[in-house]
Amino acid sequence: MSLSLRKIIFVFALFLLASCNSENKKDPYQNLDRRDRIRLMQYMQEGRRLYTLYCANCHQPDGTGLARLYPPLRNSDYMKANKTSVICGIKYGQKGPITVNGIEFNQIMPPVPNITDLEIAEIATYIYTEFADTTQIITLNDVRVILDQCAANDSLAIKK
Amino acid sequence: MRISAFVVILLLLISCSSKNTTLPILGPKQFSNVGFEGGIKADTIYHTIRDFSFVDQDSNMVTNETFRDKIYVADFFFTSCPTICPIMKTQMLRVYQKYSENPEVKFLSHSIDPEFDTVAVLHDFAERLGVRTEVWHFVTGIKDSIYSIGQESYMVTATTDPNEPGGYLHSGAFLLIDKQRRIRGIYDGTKPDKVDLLMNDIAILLEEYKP
Repeated sequence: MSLSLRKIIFVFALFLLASCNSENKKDPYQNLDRRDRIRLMQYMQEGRRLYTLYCANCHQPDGTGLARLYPPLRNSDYMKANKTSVICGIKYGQKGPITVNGIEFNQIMPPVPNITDLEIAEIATYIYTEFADTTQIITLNDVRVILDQCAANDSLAIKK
Repeated sequence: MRISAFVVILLLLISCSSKNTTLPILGPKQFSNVGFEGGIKADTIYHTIRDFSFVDQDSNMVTNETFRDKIYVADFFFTSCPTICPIMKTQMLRVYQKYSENPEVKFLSHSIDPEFDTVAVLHDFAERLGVRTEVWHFVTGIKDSIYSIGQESYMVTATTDPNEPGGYLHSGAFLLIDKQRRIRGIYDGTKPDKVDLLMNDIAILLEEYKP
């Protein structure tokens, strides 16, 4: 390989790197202090893994849902307005009709048995950060407070 | 360097031309002697899908006649399945979107939980998925009958398993069936690249029936 070809490849690689960087969104966590930032990144990492394991089959890896069968999480008005139901639903499942962005869905969401409160916090943080543009961590404590309210929720697939 | 590039191009060309091959005929084969112009000759009897009769999401009887002169893609699923079925349906929908306007191609999804998946449940499911009954039949029927056709004809597993989420253990396979009821391909319906292969193979199979 001649020297000039190497140079061209090098410049091309640089160019690629630069274009990658410019595609990155503005850092959504810039307002957080260093400790919270690291914690959020940990939650997001674990949350993404758990989302792929438990949620993405139906809601799709990019959160867009499937037709009128499985509702979208991305830009979902239901998710923004019903945090309690969403978090209770991850643990206990959900049934009955719901309306998301003007479309009615009515498919049973199965519960995730044996899921820990921390795992719910990680999933919730992931979906609200990734799909709902929230930049706030949903902590273990937040989840515990919300799960205590679940008993009153009629739409749970499994009553507590 | 130049020689190796040449070889690579040559290989590419060769692999392109092999696209014209036909699909294999899968399943156990039997050989028997058949009468032929007064004498007898040996003939190969291929594995075929047996006679069946199920009910689809519009309460229509679905039998082999429904698929006369059609090729079709078959799979096994259930509507309340939390694991691989949604992925399979996402993938099958891709195939449907590519071939739904072709009158020679149909789809057949068997419910392996026919007690829960009644006609009404399947109707709702199909309607929400946004697919047409005459192209994509979701069928229910007698459980044993669905399980046995799965195992004996389509050669896929389908059993109840209380340890499995949702209570059923089943294969995520898509099967490509030709107009003579023979299996021409088996694809992992949970893997997008395998489903790409299926879409390509459908085109190859359709070629066989061109006059």
